[in-house]
Amino acid sequence: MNEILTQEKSIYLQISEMIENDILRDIILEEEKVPSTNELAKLYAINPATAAKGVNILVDAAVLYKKRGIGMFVAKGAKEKITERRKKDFAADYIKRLVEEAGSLGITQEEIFAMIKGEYKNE
Amino acid sequence: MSKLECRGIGKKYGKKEALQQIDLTIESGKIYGLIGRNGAGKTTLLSIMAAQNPASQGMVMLDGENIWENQKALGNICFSREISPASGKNGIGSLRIKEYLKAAAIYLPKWDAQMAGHLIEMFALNPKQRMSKISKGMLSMVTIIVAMASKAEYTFLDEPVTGLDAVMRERFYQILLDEYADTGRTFVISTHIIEEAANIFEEVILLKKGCFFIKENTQHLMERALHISGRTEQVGEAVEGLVVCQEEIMGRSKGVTVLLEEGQTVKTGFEVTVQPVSLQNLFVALCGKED
Amino acid sequence: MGAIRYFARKAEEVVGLLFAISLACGLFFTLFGALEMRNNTIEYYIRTSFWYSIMMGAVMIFAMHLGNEQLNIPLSLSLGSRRKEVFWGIQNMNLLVILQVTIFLIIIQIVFPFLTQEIPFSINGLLLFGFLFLAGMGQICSAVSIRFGGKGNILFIAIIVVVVVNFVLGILQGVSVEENVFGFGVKVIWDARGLNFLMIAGSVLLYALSMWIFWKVLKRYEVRN
Repeated sequence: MNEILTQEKSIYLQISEMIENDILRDIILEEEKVPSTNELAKLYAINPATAAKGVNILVDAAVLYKKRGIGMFVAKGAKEKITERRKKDFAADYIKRLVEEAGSLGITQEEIFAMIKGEYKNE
Repeated sequence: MSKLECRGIGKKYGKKEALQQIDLTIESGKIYGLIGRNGAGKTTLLSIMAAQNPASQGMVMLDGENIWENQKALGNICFSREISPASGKNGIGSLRIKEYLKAAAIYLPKWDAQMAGHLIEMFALNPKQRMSKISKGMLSMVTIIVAMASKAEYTFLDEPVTGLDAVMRERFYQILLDEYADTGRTFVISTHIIEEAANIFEEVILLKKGCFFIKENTQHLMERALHISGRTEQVGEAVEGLVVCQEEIMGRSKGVTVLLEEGQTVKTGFEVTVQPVSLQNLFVALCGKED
Repeated sequence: MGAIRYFARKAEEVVGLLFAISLACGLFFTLFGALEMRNNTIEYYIRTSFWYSIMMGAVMIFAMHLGNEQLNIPLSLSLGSRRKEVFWGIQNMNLLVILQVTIFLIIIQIVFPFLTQEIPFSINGLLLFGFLFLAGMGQICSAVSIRFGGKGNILFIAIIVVVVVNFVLGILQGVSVEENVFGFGVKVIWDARGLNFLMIAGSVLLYALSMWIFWKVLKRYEVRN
């Protein structure tokens, strides 16, 4: 929560990502209540329908579930689900861009592997 | 769901056509943004949608009933106009704030005096002051108070943040969202401060030179708008067949703003940068060439 | 409903203002009055205020319409009133002011019978239709103002100037209070004090005409910022 919205991506996607980040960081725990769409709307100065769209993505992904009359709650196993999905998207989000960028700079595969190895060594 | 429909609305002032063939449906329960250049006809349209001025052609219907001189419809619509201090000596500007609000209380059937009082305090206004003697920002605050306290089902605001500093603008958006969350009232708000307000609007309506141009879900519209830049030839091939709103050329590079139609995409495989476009930039791209 | 209430309030404001000014003028002239002072100062004051009420009534019933076009009408319409309601609200305002002033004057004449020593009671009938006539004139000027802008206002001011000039000339001519207050105007009323049927009909017709003209213009009134 409390991250700043950017223009780079659709607002509702940013909302769902922010909630996911909070779940991963244990800022919201499983079975805990997530802020309501009106609260999210006020916090980020966005239209509640947009906030709702972001929340619904997570409901569809079974990361959140709805308790009638009370609100949205983090589902059991949400953390794992999020991590799984992000792992799957890792290739599309990061690797693809890395390879494309490397290609336009003329960096070879071997050079990339060497760079990655070097990065792990530094850790 | 209730709705306010404009059917074939036209407005002529002498020979000048201020509005042409506007067909528009405002569905209840949403916050709409109305954007357009100065003189595009935003105020004229809002006046007609609130039955404050007659249309030259066409009509406005609220749930199937013509709103002109219709007491029921008028009781459900509030258009809080900009108060012009220039009406100074004898006009509306000569009133004190509390006199104006008293008149509002007489005319607006659902007036919430408590909310009005609360907002006066929040804005730190002195109700005894004459409206010709206060700043533009304070005049905006008065129009905001009337709009909010009217508790009207359909509420229109014409550039409500004129003269407000950034802090007060944020406060206005908060007040608006609070009220919307509490009541689900329908708001149509015209503004020039597009970027700030873009996230507040569920749908955005764009008027261009008196004509209806776009009415779309804001997020959806933003997803259709892209900026492609790179080498001129590459860009040209990547956007082939797409609707180009604006192009900038510098040396061998070119940047274009496109609006994708259903099912269209930017062609891949070219060395171009594809970026999303803000609503304000899209607006300028669409309306910038008018002069 | 709103417009009826709003303009009724305006009517009360006009009536209140009218009497306040009359009483003040009466006081002024009693204290610094004409050369011929009556022995009984209070009687003088009442007499003077009485005449001033009539004159101020005449002026204000006419002039209150000037404020309508610039303030009350755009205000009412911009707050969502129907034009029909604004129209009837203004007719009601005319009615309220005319009736209240006339009835008040009648009551004063009954309470202070010495007032009717010089002026017969039938003047009230004359006043009623005189006021009606002026209200009609006011409405017509208001309509002209709405339709043609500034030129209508010039008409307003011209008429008011004519009345004031009459009054001033009257003061310079006459010496005694009664003739002073109206001067030329009083002479006209004096001559007409046998309630002429033609005048009644004329007033009613003019007012009806003013209603028609005013409605036609009000129907198409454009609210602007």
